[in-house]
Amino acid sequence: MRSQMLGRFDVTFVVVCALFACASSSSSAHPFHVSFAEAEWNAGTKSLEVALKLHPNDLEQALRRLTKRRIKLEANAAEAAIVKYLRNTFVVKDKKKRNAALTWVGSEISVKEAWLYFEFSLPDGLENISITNSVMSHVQGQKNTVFIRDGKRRTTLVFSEHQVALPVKFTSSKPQTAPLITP
Amino acid sequence: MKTPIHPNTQLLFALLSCFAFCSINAQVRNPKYGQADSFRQLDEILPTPTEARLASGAPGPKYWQQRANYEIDVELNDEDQTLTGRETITYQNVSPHTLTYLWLQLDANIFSPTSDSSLTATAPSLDRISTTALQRLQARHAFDGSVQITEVSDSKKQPLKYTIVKTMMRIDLPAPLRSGETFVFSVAWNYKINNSKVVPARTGYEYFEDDGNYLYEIAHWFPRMAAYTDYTGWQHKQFLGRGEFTLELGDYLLRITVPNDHIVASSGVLLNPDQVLTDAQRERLEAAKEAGKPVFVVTPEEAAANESNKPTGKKTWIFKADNVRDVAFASSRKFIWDAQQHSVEGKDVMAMSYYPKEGEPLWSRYSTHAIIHTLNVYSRYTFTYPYPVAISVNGPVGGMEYPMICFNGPRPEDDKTYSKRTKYGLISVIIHEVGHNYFPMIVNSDERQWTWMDEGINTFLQYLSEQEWEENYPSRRGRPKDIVQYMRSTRQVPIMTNSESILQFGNNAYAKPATALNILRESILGRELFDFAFKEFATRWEFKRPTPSDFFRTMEDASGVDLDWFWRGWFYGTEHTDIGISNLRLYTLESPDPDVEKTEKKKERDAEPETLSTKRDKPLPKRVDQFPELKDFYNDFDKLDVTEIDRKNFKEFMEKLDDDEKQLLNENRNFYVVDLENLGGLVMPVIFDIQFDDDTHEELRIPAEIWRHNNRRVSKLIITSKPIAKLTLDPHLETADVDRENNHWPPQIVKSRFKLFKDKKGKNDMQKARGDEDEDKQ
Repeated sequence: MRSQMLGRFDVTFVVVCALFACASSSSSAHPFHVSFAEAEWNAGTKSLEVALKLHPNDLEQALRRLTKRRIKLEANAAEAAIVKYLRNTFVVKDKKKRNAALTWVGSEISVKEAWLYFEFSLPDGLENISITNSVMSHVQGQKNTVFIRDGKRRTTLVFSEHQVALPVKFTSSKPQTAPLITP
Repeated sequence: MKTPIHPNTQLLFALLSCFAFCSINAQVRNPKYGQADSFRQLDEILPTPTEARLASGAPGPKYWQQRANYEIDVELNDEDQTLTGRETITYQNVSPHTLTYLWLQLDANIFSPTSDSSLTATAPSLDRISTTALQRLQARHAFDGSVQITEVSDSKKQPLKYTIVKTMMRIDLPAPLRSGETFVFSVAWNYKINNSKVVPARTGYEYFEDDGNYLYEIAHWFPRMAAYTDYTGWQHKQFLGRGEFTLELGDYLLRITVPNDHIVASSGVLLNPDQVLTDAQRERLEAAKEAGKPVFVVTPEEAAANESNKPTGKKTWIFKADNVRDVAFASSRKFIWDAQQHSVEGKDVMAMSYYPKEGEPLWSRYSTHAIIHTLNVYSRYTFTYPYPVAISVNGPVGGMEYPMICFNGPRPEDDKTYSKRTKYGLISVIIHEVGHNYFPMIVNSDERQWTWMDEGINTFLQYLSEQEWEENYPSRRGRPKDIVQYMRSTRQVPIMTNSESILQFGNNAYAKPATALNILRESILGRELFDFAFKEFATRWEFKRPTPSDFFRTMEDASGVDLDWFWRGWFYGTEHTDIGISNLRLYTLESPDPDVEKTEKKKERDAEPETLSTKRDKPLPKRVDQFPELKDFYNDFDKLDVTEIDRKNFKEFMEKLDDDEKQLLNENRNFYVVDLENLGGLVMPVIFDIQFDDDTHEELRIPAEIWRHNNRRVSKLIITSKPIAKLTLDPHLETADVDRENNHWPPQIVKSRFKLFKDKKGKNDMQKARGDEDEDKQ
């Protein structure tokens, strides 16, 4: 979408977006529009290894939108479409803002979940990288979480329709509570 | 000496303390200890008990709740998809208070372009928006489905003054309504029904292009009494889209007028089958009472014939629904209808499903069975299902619940095949939505305030029901290991957050409370205690309105277990379980016999490695060797040599011991001290699998109270007769521990999901098959 819009139209447009977002927040049994990814830094191969969990129905719907045809996740043809979809929606940029190369590893599909495995090559390391995650953005209220681990360092990024790109910064793994004073 | 503190530092300190206090949610910090007391009673948090809501969690002698009876005439216009209605409400003021005005909900006003729901929603990311979403935006912009009120009058047809406040309406009473009095008034209204394709919601119509017909699922469609309560007065928080409905119970008489070729499904019992059903349909409905399996009341063939019909007039379907807090209905000429009467704990219930041909073959196979299964399981854990019918309808709404009726979305593919996911998705959503009859339709909780009280409790029972449908049913939520990813995530708020302010809605209000209750049942109280207390809660509050404190108090009162720490951690906090083994130390008893003990110590000393210098210094000539006169007693004395005094002391010691003490000495016990760290902050039971040297196992289950003096670090003594080879924390994955890497001694690397997958991938299918052959040969 063009990011520049002018005058009244601009304002009206945002209000309408907002309006749609809430009118559709229904369906009390399935508000589970979430994805979850575990990403681990492999210092040996200098790659970020990602295991991404999605709702299989949502993924099938996304592939249908992308390819304009119905693709069963279990079919062989699904793999190429999934990779194409991931390259559009799950992007890692290195510290020089260049897209890291995505290598497909495989998938596991069950009734409850679809796990997708892929990795990003980052020869310059993990510092100052950023992630864009807009998987399943066709689903209203979608929340995408990425848990990143590098040895003892770990961080969690939460993406939403309001924020699809985030820098990777590590936080302490200790809980944020009062300090311990041993008796 | 006391160091003076600069005033600015004092201020900063005060601010920081305040921040620390606020950040450790729902915890009272002890400044001289530095830890919040995880086991402190919820005194500051729970409301003070009253004679209406007792300290035991039961409704008290002064409990009251209002009642509203409705008589509604409504007409559905299939030509322009509008709804026009007129209702007479009989409102009974059971409260001890005098009321001067009444509040009603006008939920359809959420479809006004200027509703709060629209105006307060924040902008989506416009960088990426799908074309379908754009189409919906445009269609939604043109649609105004708000309610037009055409009449508000008293029983003498005199107009009443009313004020519309967005999704609420206040009616000013002509005279104060005293305790025990009744007020009768009427409201007439109309509105445009939303097209679910472009304005998806909990209600709406679906248009089928192939045959040109409509299917309506109609909900929150009439002005409904807002609840007036003892704990919050009028519950008139605006309907913003998340917090669903808070309503009064009452009896309903519905007259629903539709085109005369429509089939109507509604909350309640059909009072005029003679006028709306054919003779054959009435006979089949009668047959469904004894059939023992679902029977078609409208067959697929009849529905197909109806689809090509044009109506020749109108028909009015009359339904009576008693003791319900709401009514909803569905109408279409496309409906196939099946029914089976079932005895739920001795009470006859007609279970019925309505669906268009697009739902087949899935719906006739599973829907009615799923309804009956739900009633059986839920009634066992709560109370006998009290209503005469239970209905599941397929239409445009994905999944939504109303008394006696619910709307469920899943359908097979166009070619009539369906995936395993669709099948289980359908069974699960029907169990969930039929299950809502118990929570919040009958246990009438305040949905606008607390989503978890119906969604969380219902999702918990849904999990139990699914596991009784078939072995290893693929339940999506309920198991502790399935909540780990959410528990670990940031941007979380406690379960006890208002419905409209919840982040990560589904995980917060459905999955986390369902998992918490599952953990409470399996790992903390045990099934027997939990089930007794849970049933007590359900029966105490059947047809009444509990608040969270009534639930927390009843569960403790009936189980006999103090659970304040559990509610505090799981419902009022956002900490997670991450318990780790930081160290394991072994202590053994020294033998009092100097011949044993000193010999052992000598062995240990001799086993100590020589330092490099000692080794290199050894060949150097020593002065004492050159001049032996320099050697004295100390050159030869070894303190680990057994002396006569040692032996004498041992003899005296043994003589003083009795037989039991002597046996204890001979038992050769190992004393292990395991150091545990609570890294996640949530206090939880500590469950160990102890593996011994000889490969035998023992399970040690320690209640969460082990953390009561120090909720960060504790040490536990484990006495064993055999040496420990391995310790594993949370061996059955029952505590939702988010990091399993620190759950082992000796430490064990837990492979990431990615690595596990890559390992599995190492062999291709042909190699795996070859491997199987090799194994067979062995």
